[in-house]
Amino acid sequence: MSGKSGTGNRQTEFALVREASRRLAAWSTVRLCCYVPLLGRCVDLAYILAGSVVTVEFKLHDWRRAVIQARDHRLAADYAYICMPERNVSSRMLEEIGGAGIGLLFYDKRDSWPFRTVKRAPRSTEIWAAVRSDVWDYIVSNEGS
Amino acid sequence: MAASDKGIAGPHIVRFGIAAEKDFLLEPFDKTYDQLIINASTVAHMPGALALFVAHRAKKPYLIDPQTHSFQHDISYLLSDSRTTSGELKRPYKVLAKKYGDPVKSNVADNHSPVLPESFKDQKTRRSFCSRVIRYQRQALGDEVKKSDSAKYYAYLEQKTGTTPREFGPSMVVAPYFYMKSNTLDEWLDINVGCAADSRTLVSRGPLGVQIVMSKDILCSEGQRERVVKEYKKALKRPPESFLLWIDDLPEDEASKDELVALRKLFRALGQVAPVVNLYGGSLSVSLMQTEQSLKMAGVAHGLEYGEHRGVLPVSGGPPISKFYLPALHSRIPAADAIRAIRALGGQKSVAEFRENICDCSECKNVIEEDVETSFRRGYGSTREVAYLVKGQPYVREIPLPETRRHCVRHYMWCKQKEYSIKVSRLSLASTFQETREKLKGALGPDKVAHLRVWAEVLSEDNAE
Repeated sequence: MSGKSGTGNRQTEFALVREASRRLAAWSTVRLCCYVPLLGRCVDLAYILAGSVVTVEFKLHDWRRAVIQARDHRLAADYAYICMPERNVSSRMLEEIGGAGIGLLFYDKRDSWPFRTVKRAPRSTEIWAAVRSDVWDYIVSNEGS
Repeated sequence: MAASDKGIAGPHIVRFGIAAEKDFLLEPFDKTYDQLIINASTVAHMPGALALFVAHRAKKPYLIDPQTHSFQHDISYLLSDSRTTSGELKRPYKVLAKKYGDPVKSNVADNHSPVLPESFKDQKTRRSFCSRVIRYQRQALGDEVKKSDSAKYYAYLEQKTGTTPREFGPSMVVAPYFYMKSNTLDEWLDINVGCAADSRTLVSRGPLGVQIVMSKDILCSEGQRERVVKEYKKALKRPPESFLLWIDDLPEDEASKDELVALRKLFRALGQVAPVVNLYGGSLSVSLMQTEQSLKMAGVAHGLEYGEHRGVLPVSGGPPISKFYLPALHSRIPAADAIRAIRALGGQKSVAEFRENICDCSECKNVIEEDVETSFRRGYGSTREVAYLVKGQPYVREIPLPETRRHCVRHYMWCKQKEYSIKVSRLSLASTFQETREKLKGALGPDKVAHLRVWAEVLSEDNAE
């Protein structure tokens, strides 16, 4: 989320990150952190679950930009997702998300788990151990922030 | 610090950007480049420090870009936005307006309006303007030496090093110039050619540079491009020692083949009149200069890790975000892409592989250790979070640590030294570009390697016109 702000549409995006993280924090099995540095990018939300690092890039509209950003998350995340409010998903969009090796989540207001999986992310084949380790340590050190 | 009588000391020209960068221009990097270019606004901002730096630390020939085009645009680009001087001309431009005199002073400094082509129609006015612009370049740093607060120190240095104040002069002076677009060519070309011709008569003995600043639409219009060359050739009975060329915002690693072919044609056409320096050039320009002698290119200039292209506007700008210059790609890329490329090129498993397949410059030798990916991330990819409040809302981004920037700039400077000294044929370079593209297109995606194919095609084209 390099250069993400909270103004305008982004204010809602910012609120979405905060709301999702607040609800995820209620899960005792999840360790999470917002705005995690990753090679010059800033990941909206990253969490550790069952020994895996998962990153989530939130976007309200510009899914193509989210795909570019989330693709870089794969260097540190075992699973990288973009998350959007529920919307129509074109076959082109699914194709590009699949091609980038990431997954798609819808933000779910109703369930206790804040995400609904639309397309499951494959395990990253690009892991860069040093960066994954940095992200892991950052989450553990800044848990809940 | 001698320059040739052509005013350009050698092909590798570096642009002095900001004071914080000066250490990258000193030992050991002073051996990597031939000449400095300094913007007049920088000279006006810090003449004392620059005089000391140029004459006694870098000891390099220099020339000053008079930046006269700054005064032809919307004046808001030149106004201060600091709390105490908001709405006033920024101090360096105030100094330049005063030194350059009318019509700049009356239009810009007194009335806060840009200069117009009409402002220079009167030959007497134009000629005296040229005279002051040239005088400023000749004296700006030398005058500093005479100032009392510095004089003692310079006298001491003179005694110690034998350097005299006369050597503070630029290796070449540059005629005033203005930016031309397709739809303003008719208005500004005559003025520019007039300034060049007037300056030639004023600079009868020393080297004169004629700077040409044009938009991409002129570059790509064969008729307009040829007209520009023809008009300068016609007006300058005795050609300048160099043409200094600046194409507005032409990043060679993003440009189209048509744009780059046109650039090569322009090098050739101008080169038939006088040697050409590309003031904001990338690796393609360097490749053309090194492999195609008939272009008669005298040099290619760049900044420190940036400055391989530059838009005419805004007039001033800050340093960019550091990235890793991947030698095989001849392009700066973010750390995430760099590691993908390093893997694709087979440089990630050991230091030996990294040196063999990625880079063996002094900085990489210092930064890259046995665990290549960890040391690469630490040296070239470390960032810190910066949080801003914009209208009360948070804004977060990651920026490189100061040491990351230092590593990136040093690495860049070593890579550039290698590029400027490469001795291979055009076709061999073209073939290398194509091979690298094949290796990297899967890792980086076709867009980020597309320039290698375009460059290969440009280099492979028949050089006959």
